[in-house]
Amino acid sequence: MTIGSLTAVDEPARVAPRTRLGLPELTKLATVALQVGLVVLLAHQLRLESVAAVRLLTLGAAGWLVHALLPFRYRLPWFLLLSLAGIGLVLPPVAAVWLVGIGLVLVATCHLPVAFGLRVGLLVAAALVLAALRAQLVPSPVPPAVWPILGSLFMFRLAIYLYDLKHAEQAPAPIRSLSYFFLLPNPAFPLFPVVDYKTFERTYYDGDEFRIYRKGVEWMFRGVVHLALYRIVYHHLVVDAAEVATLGDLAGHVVTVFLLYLRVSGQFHLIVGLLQLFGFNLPETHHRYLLASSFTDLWRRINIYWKDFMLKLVYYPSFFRLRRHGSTLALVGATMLVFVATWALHSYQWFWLLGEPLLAAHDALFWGILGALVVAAALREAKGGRRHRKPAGRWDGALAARRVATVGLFCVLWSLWTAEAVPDWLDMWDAAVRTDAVELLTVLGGLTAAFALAGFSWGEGARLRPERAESVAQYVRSGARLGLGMLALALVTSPPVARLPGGTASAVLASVADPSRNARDEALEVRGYYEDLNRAQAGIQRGPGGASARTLREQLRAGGFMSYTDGLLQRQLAPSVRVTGGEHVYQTNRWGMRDGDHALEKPPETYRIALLGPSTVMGWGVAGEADFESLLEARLNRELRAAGARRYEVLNFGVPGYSPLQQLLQFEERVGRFNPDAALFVLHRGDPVRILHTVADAVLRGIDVRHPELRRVLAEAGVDSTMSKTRLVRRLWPYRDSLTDWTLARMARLAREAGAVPVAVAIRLPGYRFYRDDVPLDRASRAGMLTIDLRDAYEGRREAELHLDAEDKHPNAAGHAVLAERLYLELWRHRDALGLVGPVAGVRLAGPIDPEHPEGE
Amino acid sequence: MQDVIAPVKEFILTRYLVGEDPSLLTPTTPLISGGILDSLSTLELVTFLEERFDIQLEAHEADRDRLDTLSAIAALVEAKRRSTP
Repeated sequence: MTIGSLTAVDEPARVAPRTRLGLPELTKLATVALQVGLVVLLAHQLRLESVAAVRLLTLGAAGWLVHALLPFRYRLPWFLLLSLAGIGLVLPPVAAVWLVGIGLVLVATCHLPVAFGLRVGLLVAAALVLAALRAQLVPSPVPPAVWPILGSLFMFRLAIYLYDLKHAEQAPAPIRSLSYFFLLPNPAFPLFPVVDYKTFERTYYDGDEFRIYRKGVEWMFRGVVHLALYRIVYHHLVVDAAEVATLGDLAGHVVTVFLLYLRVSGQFHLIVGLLQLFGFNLPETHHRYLLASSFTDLWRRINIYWKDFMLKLVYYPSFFRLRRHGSTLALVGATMLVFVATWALHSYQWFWLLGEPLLAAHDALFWGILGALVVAAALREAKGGRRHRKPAGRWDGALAARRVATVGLFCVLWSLWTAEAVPDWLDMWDAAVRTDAVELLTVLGGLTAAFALAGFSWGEGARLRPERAESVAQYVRSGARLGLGMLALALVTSPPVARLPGGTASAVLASVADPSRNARDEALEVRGYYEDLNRAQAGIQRGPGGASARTLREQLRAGGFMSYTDGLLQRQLAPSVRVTGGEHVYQTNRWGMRDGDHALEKPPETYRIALLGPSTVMGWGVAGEADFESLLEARLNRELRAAGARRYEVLNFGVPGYSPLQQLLQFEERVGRFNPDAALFVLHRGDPVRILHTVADAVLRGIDVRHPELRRVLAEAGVDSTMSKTRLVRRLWPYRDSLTDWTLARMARLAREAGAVPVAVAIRLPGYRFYRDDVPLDRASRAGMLTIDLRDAYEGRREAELHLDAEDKHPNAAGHAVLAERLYLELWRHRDALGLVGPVAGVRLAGPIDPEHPEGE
Repeated sequence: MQDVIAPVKEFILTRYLVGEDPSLLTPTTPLISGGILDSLSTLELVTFLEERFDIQLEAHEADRDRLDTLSAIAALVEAKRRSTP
């Protein structure tokens, strides 16, 4: 094979490509083009998956139209060109060159003119070298963003390709091989590694091109719908393991955690739909998996490409070798081998996408149990004969029971797979006996509804259907129906409709267009297997200039920026340190604040503000003089002091990761001594959960908790340091509201006792949607605190330009400027309550001019 | 070809397409990609072909290229017969 011999191809298609572009063809093309345009519109409006994904889908849509107009022989080269352009669109140039370079070497190695075994040996050696670089066992010149995509493109496809190469009658055309490996969607969707090479080759324009295009756009829309449903589940329905206290919670947890898989099936539909637009008439990746009626059926419906991959490389070769010992033994042995391989290869996939090994007992247990269930179902099928009878079309109770049992049991298994550890998962099940009559009836009602729905065939009846010819008018009509569905989704999720007052309904619609993490994940960073793998996707889209969050964290830790305490506070900034992290210097004063020097005693004629909070307050990812605390201080002094008022000091007590409870402890231990006039406690969404984690961490570390209220909660919850953290948090979960209230009330009381006005300030990270109740501002108000809500500060601005990068959503310098501006206006608005200006004789202040916040309002 | 297609069609109709219209199972009807044959039934078909036509199939031949339609199956059986001494 000569890579340099890439030219236009004249490979025969199974269906003769169109030779003319008359009115009927143009009409069909226009129909598909409109639908593709609507899918792209939806991708932009819903901000599907990532910035890179939206860009890539846009590139793919535009490229498809050119592709469809090109003579057939130029289409595959155009697809390859687009795929390479997609890599350039997502990765920085140097990383893109590395990716393509390594890829070309790997593909060329498959075709070296040496014995097949030697080629395999060379590829294994290359993989070991790459793995050592990926694991950073040796210094790596390869940019980190390359690895997930390289893994996605080659970690499984090389094995499939070699298998097919070994059994092929003739070597594939170079352009086909390269198109196979450098698939257009992968740079933005690394969680799509498996495509069968022979299927990829065989199905290329193997039918009427307009039918293929229509199927592609239908699947893309199906993918959008899956992703929209995923967001509703993710933002509104999912029940975390820590929240499980009753039977209803337990049922909600096992069902909703599995429904998060909609994200994977949605991505796969989008990806394969996009490939269909380029003539690759690939089969479905998922087929109505919620209708599975046995574990073998489920295995055949969910992640079908993986199942086919296992069949080809593990199941059939094992079965053919073992069948001389009898078909039953061969079936059992081959199936068990498939699940052992699946377990091992999921860990292997984890390594290439995330760079860490995955070795967890519950992971092995999940695949082991699932394998045993599939073996049992396969044996039952084999013994009972494989006869399939066309369904009668009426409701079938036995089918309903099988479907509910299969999917229900799989949901339970899935909850094991996504658990932190087996003991945590087991611990959750004692909730099954805690319920009341209403909840029990609700759970039973849900089961009954599922049973009633599962008994229908849902169009799964006849397996043989005649293929009918279709007129242009019929093609356009079917396209119009689909287009109307797309328009309807675009309309109900459009910003004006989502902003309509409508309580829960409008919140649900708004969340469909919300790509950010939910409050719990934002607080905890806890996710399941696929949720975690999607981190690889985010990692790719890091901006070239910004240090990643993980790198910055490591740099600060290595530089001794944080010091650790024995008390409940647990950590604080070390005094008088200077560390370079990413592009900025992180320097603390003698009191352990990332701030300039301040005397302990408040200077005369000075209004002192203590600003407490987590990393956002500390100025994560921005220069010390660019955080909103510094900008606020400068503006207060520039505008108010210049008018004759007092001097202003804003003391930055921000510490990364601080929960409100730690802010309270910090105030108790340190801040009060600085005699502030106002104490601003910065709250984020997910704070009640953060408080629980602060307490749980303290218990785990054996820290002596002094506060009687906290001691009472710990005693009531029955927690101790021998428990896992998940179990601890679950035991503490019922106390999250009371602990939050206690924290806020104590903040208010201690601040007032210290002579400061207690203020709760709600902020959010740019790019994250917010919901009215996601920060406990109402609770803060009831606790006697003044409240300031900055969560809408970024509205009307391009939020993607206000955070550090796609992975790290902390505000950048521009984001801090927005926060400082808005906080300044809010302080001015509350100047009387804060005593901000004070009685300065003979001075009249005009105040800031802001049309949205009229002076004094 | 017909001497292969007819018994294979009968095998598939009686085992996996009970109640379906036989005339809809044509030589080009997709069997694996159409969801009629799954992994277990593919292996049953392999066993049937080996016993009925006295041929030996290998693991890599149990794929869609060779078993997805009655025509492809007939071509595979014919090729195997020709290569058998």
